[in-house]
Amino acid sequence: MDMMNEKKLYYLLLALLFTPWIQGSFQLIHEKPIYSDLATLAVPTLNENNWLSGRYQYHRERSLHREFGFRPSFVRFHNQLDCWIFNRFNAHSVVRGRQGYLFATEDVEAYQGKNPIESDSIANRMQRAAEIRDLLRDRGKDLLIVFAGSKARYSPEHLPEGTGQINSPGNYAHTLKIAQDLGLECIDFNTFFHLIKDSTRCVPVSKRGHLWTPCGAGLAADSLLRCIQRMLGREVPHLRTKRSEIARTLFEDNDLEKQLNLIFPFGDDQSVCPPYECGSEKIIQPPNVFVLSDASYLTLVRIGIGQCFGRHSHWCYAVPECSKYPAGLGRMNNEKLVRELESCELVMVMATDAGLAELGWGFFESAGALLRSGKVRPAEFWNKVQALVEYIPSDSTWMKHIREKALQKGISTDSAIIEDAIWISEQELK
Amino acid sequence: MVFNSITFLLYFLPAFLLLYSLLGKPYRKLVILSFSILFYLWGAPRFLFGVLISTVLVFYLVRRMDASKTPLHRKILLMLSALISTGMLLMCMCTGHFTDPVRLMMISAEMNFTWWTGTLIPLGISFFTFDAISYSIDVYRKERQPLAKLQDYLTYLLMFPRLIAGPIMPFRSKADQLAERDEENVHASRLAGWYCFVTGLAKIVLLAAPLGHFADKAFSRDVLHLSAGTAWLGMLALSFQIYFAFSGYTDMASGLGRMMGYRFPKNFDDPYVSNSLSDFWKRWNVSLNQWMKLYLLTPLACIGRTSAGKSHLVAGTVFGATVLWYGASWNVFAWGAFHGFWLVAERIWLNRVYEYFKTGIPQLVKVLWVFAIVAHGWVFFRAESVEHALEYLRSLWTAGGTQTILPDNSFAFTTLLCIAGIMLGYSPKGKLLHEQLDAGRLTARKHLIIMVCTLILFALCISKISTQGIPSIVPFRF
Repeated sequence: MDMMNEKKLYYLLLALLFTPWIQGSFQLIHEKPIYSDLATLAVPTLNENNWLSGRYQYHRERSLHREFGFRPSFVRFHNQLDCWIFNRFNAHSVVRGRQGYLFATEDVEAYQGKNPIESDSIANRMQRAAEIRDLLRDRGKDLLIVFAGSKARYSPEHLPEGTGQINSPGNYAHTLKIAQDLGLECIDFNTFFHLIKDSTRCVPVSKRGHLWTPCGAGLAADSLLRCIQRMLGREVPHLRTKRSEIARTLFEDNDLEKQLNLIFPFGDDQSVCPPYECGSEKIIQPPNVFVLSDASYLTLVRIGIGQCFGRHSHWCYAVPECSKYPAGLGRMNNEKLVRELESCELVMVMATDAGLAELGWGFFESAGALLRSGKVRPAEFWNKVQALVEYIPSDSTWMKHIREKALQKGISTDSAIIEDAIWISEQELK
Repeated sequence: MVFNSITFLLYFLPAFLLLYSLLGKPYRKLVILSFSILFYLWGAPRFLFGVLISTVLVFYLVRRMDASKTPLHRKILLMLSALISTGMLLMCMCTGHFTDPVRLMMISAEMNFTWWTGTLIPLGISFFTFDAISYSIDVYRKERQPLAKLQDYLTYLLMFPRLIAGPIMPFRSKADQLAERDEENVHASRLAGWYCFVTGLAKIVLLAAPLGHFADKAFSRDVLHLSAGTAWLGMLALSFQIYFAFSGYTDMASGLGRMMGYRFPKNFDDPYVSNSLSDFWKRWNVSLNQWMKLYLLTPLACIGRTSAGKSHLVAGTVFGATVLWYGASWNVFAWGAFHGFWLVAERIWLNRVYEYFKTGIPQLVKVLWVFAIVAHGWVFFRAESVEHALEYLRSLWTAGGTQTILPDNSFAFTTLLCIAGIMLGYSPKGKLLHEQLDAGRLTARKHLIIMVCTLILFALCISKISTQGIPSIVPFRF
């Protein structure tokens, strides 16, 4: 090879070596980001101490490792090769089932009965739930426990070969039995979906996702709203499909496939369904619901169950799915919890089989004490407050005082009205 | 920053190559030195100050020594420069970078040097020390003239390609290159360097890492109950992991050197096809053995000449020093003792057995026998403690172990890749290609094919590093 060509080849190599740097700095080509990738790593400021101790270099290297140009493509390239050559997934949370089905590892493990929870612990938690149910009922509220349908339980025929149940009855059956024995209101979607499996065209679990399909979510939402209607003893709005609109992909239900971060997906077979809307024949008061759940509730949120509720507060406990929602990751903050308990008519705690170990996420431990301490005021209190808030503007003398107070405190007139209404209601309660 | 990190591969290396290629010949040495200092500053900023001070001191002491006519004066200056050069190494020994025996001795003697801990990072400390001693001795023996410029001396000691895993280069073999590098057919040389660099990278990332993964699994189990099959497989995986990791790093260093116009010596000369253990030690880490021969064995040889016992003592001392280079832990001592035992056995009777069966024993059996000894020795190198190593060795030869680890597809694939690579390397076409590459006489078609292959390998390595992180390299444990 003559020297001219060698020189060209060398400079071509040099240009190629620089492309990741350039791409990383200027993002010239749009790349599909890595699914469920963590947030950017923070790098300490460059100063003498950080440099000499090596802290800056260590963090900078870690950051460069995650942010260099074309990283998503390199990662997908590697995953695709591993999938093709070694039939291996690099996402530890995904298991390959039969006939192209994908399962979440935690779902399969829960089905198998791995990581069993101690019987005493389950009994203790359910006992607390029953106590909270009683305390809530004293305030005209109620508690509903929802066992979200597990994909592994719905279609065990698609589980990987040799996946057997190790421990029986497992966390799910055990928790359900104790909850039923204690008379707790429960919806068991495992049983529900199993019963309708042969009689409905709707496949409630997606082939390559770990949550429900839109039509599965629709069925679940319908059952849930009927159950709430029965518990509250009044009519509530219902979710129904918009007949005028054609079926389409309401949301992507292939989250497990996305976690694999491959270049070539297995297939484009998203579930389609007409969009849902919430409504009723007559004007009715929608219920106020406070939901604590893992990711299982998110499909219901996506099809619009929130429209059927008046006040809909959702504390979500799943990473990373929940971080995308405005509520974000709920923390068991007592102050917030008091407000939620005061405002809702129904508390709903929902989890998949895999999430049962954390069921309630601290709610059962915190709510009982709050309800007993009297910090959570009864519904009548708020009815009284509401009545006062509506009355005060019509009383000109009172409004004059309120305006003066609002000016003094530097708050709005509305806030001053609420303050007064609460103070008077509290005095009356005493 | 190690060579197989994203920081080095996608930031440091392109920046260095671009500047080195764009700037004219007079500035190139300065680019090498600047990037070497940057490399040090990044990895061991506190260490750099000590290195620079000792380097400048040694440079001027050696110049004084060369100018001096008095033998005693010369000797004193040599001792002084050697002491300064080894000072860094000694300090690291006392700060816990060298472990177990030395440290225990220090503690028992109530010598507390912990105030140095965290101050120094021994990045390439042994290479730095050995090169500095080699410089002083070669000038003392008048093998070579001292370097005229401090910049050249700093480049010789701090050149970043050799900082992490060598090879060690005696000054006498590098002095000419420092003054005048091979700048003919520059681009062919750079391309050859790139091919060599990527080959080394692939050895580490694509071969050593998966093998090491299996070895890690074997060594992390309850080795007493490990099945013999798994133990053997784990030991074989470890042996090839160590080889690919060491030689891969040397290939990367040689490739980088070649891109700059330097020729580094071959450090691993097919050690696993040795037909005796002494032959293995001639092929394994060649540069270290050459250094020991030139600067330790040669001066001691005059003592050894007087009697057979003293000759054995000299050989033992040199071998002990060689082993010590790998670290001062009990594991390395045990590894050295194991090799020492077989080397003595070879000297006393094993060689006679080899001779006796010279025609009877096929070469392959001898090679396999030596490889088996070497592989058993690596168990000491890898195990957490000497007891752990002995338990592992027992499981190799005990039936009835119940814990079996089945190798996965990637292990089998890696093994096939190794076999294919070895066969390609030993085939006549492979040897021819290597020769052409070495001489810079590749045709345009071959250049293009190799370039495409190396770019694919590079992409594979980057994709693997970006997904699984930087593979841990066994040599860095020592």
